[in-house]
Amino acid sequence: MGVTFPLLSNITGFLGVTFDTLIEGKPIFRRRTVIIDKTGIIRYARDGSPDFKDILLFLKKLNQEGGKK
Amino acid sequence: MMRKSLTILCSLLVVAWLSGCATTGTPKPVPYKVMPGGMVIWEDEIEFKIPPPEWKLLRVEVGENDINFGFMRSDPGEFPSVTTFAYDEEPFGCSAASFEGREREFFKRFLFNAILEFQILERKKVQVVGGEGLQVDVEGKDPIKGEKVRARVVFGKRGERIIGFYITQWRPVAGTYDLSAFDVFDKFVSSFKYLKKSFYETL
Repeated sequence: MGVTFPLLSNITGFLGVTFDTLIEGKPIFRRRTVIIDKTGIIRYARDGSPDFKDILLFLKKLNQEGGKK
Repeated sequence: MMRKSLTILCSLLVVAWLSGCATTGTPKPVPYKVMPGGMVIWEDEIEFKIPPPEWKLLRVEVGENDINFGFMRSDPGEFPSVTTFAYDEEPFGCSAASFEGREREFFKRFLFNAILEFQILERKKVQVVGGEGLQVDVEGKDPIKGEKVRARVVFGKRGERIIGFYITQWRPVAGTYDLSAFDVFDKFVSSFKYLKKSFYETL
């Protein structure tokens, strides 16, 4: 695919538990998009199908904030 | 007394049921304007020539806010005689570097619900949405179901992203294609114009 950033593979599902997306009583996870900034703070979390335009606008804002610091 | 109460209750239920039927809400506004001369402006963003009236509008709800619509026509003849064409802001695949790369990715998923053996009939460079594009004509056959499809896919660019147009015409395997539908598609594609920059171009 030619991506230039690392991808995380979460085969044991621990990340889904950490991010509280496990559906109660079922061994499946809800879909959730999380954006973590460079300092490790969760800056964005939305459930459901990713809204790519919303995510890109948020990342642009985050990038601009980072540039000012 | 009991009978009277029941009659009143039933009357109230009927009134409530009919009120429910009457309050279906206001219809959603259509996302297009038909202009004089047969042109359509879609969401104030795209302009194209409207196809003849036998082509019915087909909207694809992808839930990702991308513009994605097409037209469909039922053709005479046995099932599955139908022709559909569409504009797609996100054609299958992810390559943006070359049309050929995107073409390879696209055809891995195109019409994936059918098990087709595709044969490329023609591949040529074309002008589309004001720039260079790639047109690929294919025919696919499903020998098990006894169906076939002829398709034309046109890749073009909107900013740095690849967009697509495609037409599919399904027929029983012994059926005859109606290539006049491809002329309607070509007119639709050649009339297609962006009236403003896309979300990605303004990001």
